[in-house]
Amino acid sequence: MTEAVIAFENVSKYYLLYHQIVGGVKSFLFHMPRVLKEMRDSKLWVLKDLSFEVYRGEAFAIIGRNGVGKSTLLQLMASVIKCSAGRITVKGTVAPLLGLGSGFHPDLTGRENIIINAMILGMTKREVLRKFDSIVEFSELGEFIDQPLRIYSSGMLARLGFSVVTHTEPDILLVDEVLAVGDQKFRGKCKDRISEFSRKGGTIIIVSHDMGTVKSICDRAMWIENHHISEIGDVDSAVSGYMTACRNTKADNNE
Amino acid sequence: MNLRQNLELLFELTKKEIKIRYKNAFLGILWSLANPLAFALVYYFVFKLIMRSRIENFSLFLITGLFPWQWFANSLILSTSIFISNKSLIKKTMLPKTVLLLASIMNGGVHFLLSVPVVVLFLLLAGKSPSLIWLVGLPAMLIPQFLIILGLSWLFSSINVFFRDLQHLVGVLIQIAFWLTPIVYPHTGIPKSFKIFVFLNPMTPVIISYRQLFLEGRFDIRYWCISLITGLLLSAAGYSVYRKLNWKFAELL
Repeated sequence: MTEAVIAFENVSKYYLLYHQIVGGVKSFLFHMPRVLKEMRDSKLWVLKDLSFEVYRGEAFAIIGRNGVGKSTLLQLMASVIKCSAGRITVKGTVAPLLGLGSGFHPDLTGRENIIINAMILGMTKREVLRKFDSIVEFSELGEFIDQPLRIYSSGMLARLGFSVVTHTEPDILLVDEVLAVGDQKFRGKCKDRISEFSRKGGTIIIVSHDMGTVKSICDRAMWIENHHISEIGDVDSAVSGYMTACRNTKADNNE
Repeated sequence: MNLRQNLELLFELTKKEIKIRYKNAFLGILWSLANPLAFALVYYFVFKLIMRSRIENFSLFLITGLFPWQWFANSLILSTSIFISNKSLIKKTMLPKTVLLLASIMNGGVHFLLSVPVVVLFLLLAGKSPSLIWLVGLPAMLIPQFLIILGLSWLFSSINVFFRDLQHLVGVLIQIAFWLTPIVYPHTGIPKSFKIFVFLNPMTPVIISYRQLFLEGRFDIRYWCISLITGLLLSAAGYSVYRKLNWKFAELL
């Protein structure tokens, strides 16, 4: 039961500030020695020396302020980016719910987008066709399914994206703030879907600012502050620690 | 993801590209013929009627070089900025990035194949007819050309993530390369001192091969081999650059 599916060992991540070269060849060539030196020195540290494990079947929350590196953590888990130091082990398939519907094209219909999106996320064509009806049904799009995506509302897009991702049946689901969209009813449905996924033994990592969601869904929580893990373990205690820290900064600012 | 799955995905993405291109256009796929034809018409007007080129069947001569060139030029321009235009896919999914490049090149290839009937039409108008050797020569030529485009696409698209200037530069380079390729002139009449520039160009043997194939029904294995070797070398070079750089894309986009 307590097998670790994600293990971070002393993981650090920094970004080199590449803006000088991305900014254009001209400024790069003119100031080459200085730029190269600056690039080496200007590391933007996001995470420093993080070690933690996520166990099979649990719902794990990552909380913290904007910009502390929560999304970076998810990207590391999805191996979209590499860590600068340390070691990350991930067992099983990962479905990144990082910003839904990446790869959707506004001129294609819902039907066409489902097929492309699901295949980008790693399904075979046969799997998609087999699950097609279930995907459409869950998304509640009805007859809109044959309309081009550009006429969809943002809620409809989120529903479609969520439906496709959860149908890829991954071992690990990464959820980044997506539950903030959709109406009350759909949010409820998403939560049900996530708990069902979790009951079936799937592992979920959630990044959210909605403490209600975190408390109702998650088994454990990790609070990131100042590049480090500030607290990990019990959801209530991590959430209240984070909330207190937030209130204190607010109070400081008001003085 | 295994190979079969990737191929399936490639097929689906190529289909998507083609669909998107003509989704809202009434005349649909016909536009893919209109574009190269318009080009051919302009060049015909300039070179045959104004500059009075003495090449016989000039329009036929022209399109046999121009159509394969357009595959090269259009795909390369699209590919150079492909990672930037598909930012969200790179940052948020584990999609093998090369599939995006392949789909864009295949898309160009499909349009090239769609323009072959136009070549046949012009051939018939000139009182000639297509040759059976096309059945071997045409598929054979697709391979080296594909490799040349892929190699350069790997190279340019990877570097373009770091130096965004490149996508503008590529447009200019392609303009220059167009005139350094025997498209509006035959490769036989080039002055000696310029020959080196034309033959340093990877597309030159490709265009010569296509032209021999279309116009003379001749498939010269030597030009094909040169094209293939060029393609393999460019692919190897492009891939090694791509492999070195690609893991940083998600951070930079």
